Amino acid sequence: MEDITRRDLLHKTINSLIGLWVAATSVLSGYAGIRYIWPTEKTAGPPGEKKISFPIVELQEGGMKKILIDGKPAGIIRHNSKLYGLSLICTHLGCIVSWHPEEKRLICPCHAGIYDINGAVLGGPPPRPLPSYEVREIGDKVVVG
Amino acid sequence: MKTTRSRKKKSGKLLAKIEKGANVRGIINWFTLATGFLYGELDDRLDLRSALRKILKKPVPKHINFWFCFGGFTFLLFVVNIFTGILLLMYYRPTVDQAYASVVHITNNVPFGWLVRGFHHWAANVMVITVLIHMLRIYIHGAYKHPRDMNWVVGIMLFLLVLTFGFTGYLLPWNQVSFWATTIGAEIPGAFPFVGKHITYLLKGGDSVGQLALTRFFAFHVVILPWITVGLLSLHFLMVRRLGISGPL
Repeated sequence: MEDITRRDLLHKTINSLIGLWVAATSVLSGYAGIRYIWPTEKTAGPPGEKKISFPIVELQEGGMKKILIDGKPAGIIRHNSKLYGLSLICTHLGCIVSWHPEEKRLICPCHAGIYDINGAVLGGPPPRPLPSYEVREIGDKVVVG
Repeated sequence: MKTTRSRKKKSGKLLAKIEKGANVRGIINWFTLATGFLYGELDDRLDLRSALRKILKKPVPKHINFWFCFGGFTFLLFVVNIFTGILLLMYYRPTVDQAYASVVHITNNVPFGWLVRGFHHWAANVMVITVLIHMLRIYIHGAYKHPRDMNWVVGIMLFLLVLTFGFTGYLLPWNQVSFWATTIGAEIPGAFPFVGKHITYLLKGGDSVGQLALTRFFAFHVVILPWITVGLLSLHFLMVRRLGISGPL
């Protein structure tokens, strides 16, 4: 304390004020910058529908209909007049798997992950089965979710 | 009551600490500790201490006043425009169909988009004024004379670059005023004998301002001009550092 001079005090005060100013502006502009690039409903589009329905005639026996549910791709498969609703996002690295009706399998084109019609892993790198969606037949409509 | 009393007590203690000088020193020590983790390692290898001392402790001549600041102001505005420009690039779409809609989108829908665009717009406009004041100061002080004449020439190029930035950036929102301003601007070199018509044709990218002009102006505005400016600015600052600031009037 005894050796603090007027010049020292001024230096430290001004430096602290500059430091505070820099900190305040970087926090504020950082906040604005992150808000600016962070996707919102207005910039990235509205969230997807939680419930999807479509006429059953759009789904042939042995075929698959691709839909977007909650913004994510899913496939509704009709096999032996039963309906299966599966997420099409491969659990390995997120590619879209495709339905091979003759083998009754879903195969990922990226790294050859193989799933059966219930989404269980038959081979390849996927660590988990494909998540499934609830599918119901109401009248002449298929309701998913 | 209780809280105010305890706060009073605390602030009293703080004041006492400041009076002792311990707090200021404490903050500085804490800051040094936090930065020293990286700084110490870098300083150990690069001898930053002496480099920083040379840069930060360089004495400024006594006659420096407010009017010597306008080059620095211009550079600050240039940096602001680089940052806001990069942010605008994240939403702007340089096509005839989407350019105007994307600018409206930035202004109305993107959080703080109005602020980013406003900063870009105003920094660009004010930059022209600060450049002119900077040039005026140099002119009145005779700082353009030998041995700083080369730096004056580089400065003129930078001034023209600022104007070109303005001209190319003006087209990008693709509204009525930008379309016609570019049409008029492209007509001006047409008065030049023989080659004028061709320069106009090249600038417009055809017989009228269209997609080709928009894409090219965009490329110039966001890639070509910035890099030329960065190169010339480096030269400008190096020469200022080498030659020093000119003497008083």
